[in-house]
Amino acid sequence: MLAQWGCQPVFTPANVFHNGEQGFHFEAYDPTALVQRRNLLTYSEQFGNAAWNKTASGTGVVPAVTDNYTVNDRGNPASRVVFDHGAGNTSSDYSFLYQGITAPAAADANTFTVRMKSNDGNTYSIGFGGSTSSMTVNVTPVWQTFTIPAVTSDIQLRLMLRGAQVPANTGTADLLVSEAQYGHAGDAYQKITDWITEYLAAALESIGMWQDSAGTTPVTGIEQPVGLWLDGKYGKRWPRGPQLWNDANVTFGTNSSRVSPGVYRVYSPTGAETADVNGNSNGTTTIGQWYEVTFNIDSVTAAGGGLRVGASGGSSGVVVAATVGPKRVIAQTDYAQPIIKRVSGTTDIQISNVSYRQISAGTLYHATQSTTTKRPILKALYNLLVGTDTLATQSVTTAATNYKLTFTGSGSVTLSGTATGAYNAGTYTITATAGTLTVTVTGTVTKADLRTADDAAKNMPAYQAVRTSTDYDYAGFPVYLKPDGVDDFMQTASMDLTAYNRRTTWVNGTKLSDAALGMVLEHGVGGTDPRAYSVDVPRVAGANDYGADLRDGVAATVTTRLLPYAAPDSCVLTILADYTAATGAAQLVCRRNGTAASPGGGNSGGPVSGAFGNYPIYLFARAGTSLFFGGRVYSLTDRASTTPSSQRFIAQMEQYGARLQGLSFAST
Amino acid sequence: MTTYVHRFMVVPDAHVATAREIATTLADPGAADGMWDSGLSADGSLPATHWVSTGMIDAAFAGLLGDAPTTFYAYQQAGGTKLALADVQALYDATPIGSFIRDDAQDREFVCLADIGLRLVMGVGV
Repeated sequence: MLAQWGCQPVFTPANVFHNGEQGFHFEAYDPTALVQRRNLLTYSEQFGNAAWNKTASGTGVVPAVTDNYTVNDRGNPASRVVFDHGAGNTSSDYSFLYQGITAPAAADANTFTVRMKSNDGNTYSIGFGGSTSSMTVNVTPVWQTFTIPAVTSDIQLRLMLRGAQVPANTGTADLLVSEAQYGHAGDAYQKITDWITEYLAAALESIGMWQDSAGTTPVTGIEQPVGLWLDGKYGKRWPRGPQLWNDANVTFGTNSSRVSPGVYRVYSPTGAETADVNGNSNGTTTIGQWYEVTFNIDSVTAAGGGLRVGASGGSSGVVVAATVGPKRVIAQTDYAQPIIKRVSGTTDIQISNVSYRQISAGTLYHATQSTTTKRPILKALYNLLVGTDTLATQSVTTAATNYKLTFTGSGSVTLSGTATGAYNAGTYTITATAGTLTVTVTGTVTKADLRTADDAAKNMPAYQAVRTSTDYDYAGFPVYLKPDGVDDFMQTASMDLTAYNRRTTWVNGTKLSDAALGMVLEHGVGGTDPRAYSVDVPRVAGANDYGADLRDGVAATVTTRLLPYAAPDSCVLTILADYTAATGAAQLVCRRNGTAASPGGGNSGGPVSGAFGNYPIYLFARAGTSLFFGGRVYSLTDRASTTPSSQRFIAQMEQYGARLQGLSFAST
Repeated sequence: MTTYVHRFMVVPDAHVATAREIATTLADPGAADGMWDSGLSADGSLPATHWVSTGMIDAAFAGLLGDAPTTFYAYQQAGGTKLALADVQALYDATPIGSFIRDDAQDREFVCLADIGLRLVMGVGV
């Protein structure tokens, strides 16, 4: 029995790639893993930044701020702030530091917090708090955290030295100020400089999914498209490498130039590309690798077609719109040096603060989809009903399968259409045909849930509150990627497996339809490319099966099919492909939910010989043009090797997938 | 950051070039490449009589769709020169809102296709 290994909590998919095996691991990550913002301020440790306004009135003097003057008792940077209300000693004589905020709702229960001490041994009485909720605090030579509740009319966080305060100040106050925060009461301090930068960095480290293919907008919740899916075969972190952009080494085309250290003018007066390339820099990049590139567009005199990052030209790299502000992209480079250049047309753009760092080490095969309508969507929807807290009459589309219906309340439900019956509060098994089921509500029906028996068998809460089909609770419900089966797909760069003759693929998902052949994964186009390999869900339209194909030439094929497993069917499907095996039957072996299943539909063809090819991986379609898969994918792992996958790894990955999806089975 | 909304958009073959020209002109670079390349027909066999594009699009882009003058003005502002207002109007006349263009089709794409009597043209087998 292999189940004993399946429960090891330390296992991650990275384990099956630890000897340098090729392949990828994609996983639908729960966006709640994102680091959530607790501090609504910016530059919370840099009071000299323009985000903090400095002003004065009467005889007061604008406060003098020195950032990074020292560190506080927690090791965080502290600024020196010297307030001066001048010779006057009225409440109109003040020296004032503030940052604007959005006025909170009462229900937010927000607070202002800042950690301060005197810098010179004196004690000062300082105005602190919101624009309405201000109070006077005594800042002593000892570090203290000061907190005050915000009120709904507060539009600023303020620090102020003014005259006529009790106890009275002399004209100046020399303070050390750190850890400013505005957020929910009791939340731990969270450093914020520029939120976009830190938010995206946090997302990169924790989620690995982006709404766009350029990696500028992370997936932050369900019902968002996934345009870039990071290969997590080395773990659920994508650390960045050393800085490759070195201002001293930047070179320019004919018209582009350095404005000042670290500031560049990307200038193409005629729109010509060859004369106006900008941005070669320190060291080299590796063609095909992925880089995180950040920079600021300071000004745009002529937008042209924007800026291209990570490519010398053509349609490669990532195009960044020519709008002023911070930019951040994830680009797969086709050029051997860091590069930022104009795209097309007359272009005159000033940029600065460039950073160019490789994402993770090793060869990764991130999947992308640049066309917005072709991106799968991250979902966690299991309950077919809407408005479920208090149900109203409605119709839903059912498949020919069993469903579990649960609800509470004093009312009743009458089913018609693809199933019939009248029910009071309770839990019922409903057998439906394919088509439209009408749920007619009488009286008060609450907490109503209708899900397939397939989903009902999973380890997740018995009730999912659904407001609309795109607005629902999902805590405790496994997230998945859902291609639509119409035009959605993703693809990787070419994955060269010509040195590999063994392969294990784990597909952790739910088949939702048997109506048409769907390709979950294809490496080389079957019928066109030699040594193509595919996993098909289903393999034959209407046959209630799973299947896989392995080829040597274009035509010679080994096929395996598992059946009958009619949709909806959730499982971890494991495909073991081995060119070295003696028979076709041994060259393609399927396992479903931890068991080496009888082929059912049989193995055919073979044996075939050779090794795998060098092609892009297409997910959810053949070459992005046909045979679209429209089910759920919780994770997808493909491991190429020259030795067989151990039974231990096979079982561990199966159990890993089972945990993600909420399935329970033993791997044997 | 960009926000996305779901749209289901079916275009008759005679107008698909117009739809693609509008999309590639109005959408962000690359975001509309390859829209409307899944073919449809009444029985799912070739040739395709219609083309479908369904999924998330930029909410700003979505706001420009559905009304010919609005779309055409935005198209011209974005530098588009190949189409006339009549082309855009003909496209919308052939793609009724609520059946050929829908905002309620997510996870119901095949039901919506059935509503207008069209099926996905399937590729050849494995």
